[in-house]
Amino acid sequence: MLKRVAIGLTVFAVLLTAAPAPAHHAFSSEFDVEKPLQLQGVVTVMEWVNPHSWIHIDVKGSASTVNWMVEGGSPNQLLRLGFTKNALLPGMEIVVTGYQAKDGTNKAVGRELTFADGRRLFLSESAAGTPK
Amino acid sequence: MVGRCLVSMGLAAAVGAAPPPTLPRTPDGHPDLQGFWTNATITPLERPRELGAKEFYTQEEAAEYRKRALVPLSTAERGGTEAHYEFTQFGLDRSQAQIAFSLRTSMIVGPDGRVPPLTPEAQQRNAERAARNKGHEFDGPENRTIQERCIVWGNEGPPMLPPGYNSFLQIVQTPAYVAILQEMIHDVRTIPLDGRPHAPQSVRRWLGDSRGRWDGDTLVVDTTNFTDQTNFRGSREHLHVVERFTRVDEDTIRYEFTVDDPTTWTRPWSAELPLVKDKGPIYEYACHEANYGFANNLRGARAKEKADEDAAKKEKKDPK
Repeated sequence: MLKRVAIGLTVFAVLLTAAPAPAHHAFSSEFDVEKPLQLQGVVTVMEWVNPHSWIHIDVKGSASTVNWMVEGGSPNQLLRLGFTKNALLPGMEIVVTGYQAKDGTNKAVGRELTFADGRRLFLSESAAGTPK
Repeated sequence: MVGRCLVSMGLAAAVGAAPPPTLPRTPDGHPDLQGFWTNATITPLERPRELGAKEFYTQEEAAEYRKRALVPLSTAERGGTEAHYEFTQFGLDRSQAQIAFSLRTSMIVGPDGRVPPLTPEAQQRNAERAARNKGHEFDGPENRTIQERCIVWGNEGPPMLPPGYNSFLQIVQTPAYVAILQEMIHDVRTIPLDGRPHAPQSVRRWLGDSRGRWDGDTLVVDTTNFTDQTNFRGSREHLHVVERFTRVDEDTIRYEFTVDDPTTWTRPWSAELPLVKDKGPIYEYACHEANYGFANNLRGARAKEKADEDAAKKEKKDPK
């Protein structure tokens, strides 16, 4: 039995790494893993657009305020995750951890996203799934 | 469990069995295939070699596999890169989604459970194409995949395989037509049932030319006339697909397909997966409405070229 389970686990590990890449486009050529960043700013626009949503935030620097665009999941996925149109409104302050675009412009992919007080923004597991 | 997943464990056992008499039917007497369905899965297309000819898990093995599969994957495992958004936050990780389960160890049926070998002709064709494209992947928009260009998504097929996310489809049925809308990427395949022949060979379509008929309680759909830019695992304009839709219970359609293309594979091959009922709705996926990522990819490539060029100039001017 133990042996059988051990074999099974090896197989499962193989299976799991064979999961299809779900991104719509090549994130590795869009964003630079060598350019990690953290941004804290105020939401100006939440674009509910396909194939991926984009969050615009104003980030205050010492000299000026810079507008950044942050890429997220498809609106369809976010809705099924429990998002509503009111989840992210202009004026809300958020912190984004991610990676900058390879072209050096003020665009990033958001790995993690929280409110300024540390609360996780996206509802994640509590609202997940789409049971019939 | 987080995913609140539906279990269609009975599917494998139902293979070959007559549909129950209470099967939902349309007024013309055919099984009713209509509604919202998902084909999201944890079953791979090809069977891992370690499993040999083992076509089905036991209930116990399947439960263990599900437990391990429905743990959130790291971003790199799912997105192919670390520079991707976190799926449990910005996307819908499969541990959070509804899954259509089966006891199968692979979607491909039979003792091999693998796509058959490519013909020598196909191997040569693929090698030539790869050599031609190498280093030019980001030259311009048309060098990108038809999927990334929002022309057609791989799952739309036919054959219809799970797209990886937004794995939903809707079927609408009349005595004369069946229409299949897939959320990714919002195309509708309209399938006439009136026995008309396929379109002339000169007419080529991204989703092929489908014709349907009822074989007892199973809808059989035959599709040909794909384009030379269609790419189903290397099969293009000569791809021939036969799909079979059988409603096996209130919550499940058994979806089977056989593909053949003598210019690509050494033999035809077949697969099977369940479509499981979903509450809907299907959301519009207007793929190009703001495809910033597409332009960003090309800009990233130009930025890299410039950086390489500058580095080469510097090296020439100031050799180490």
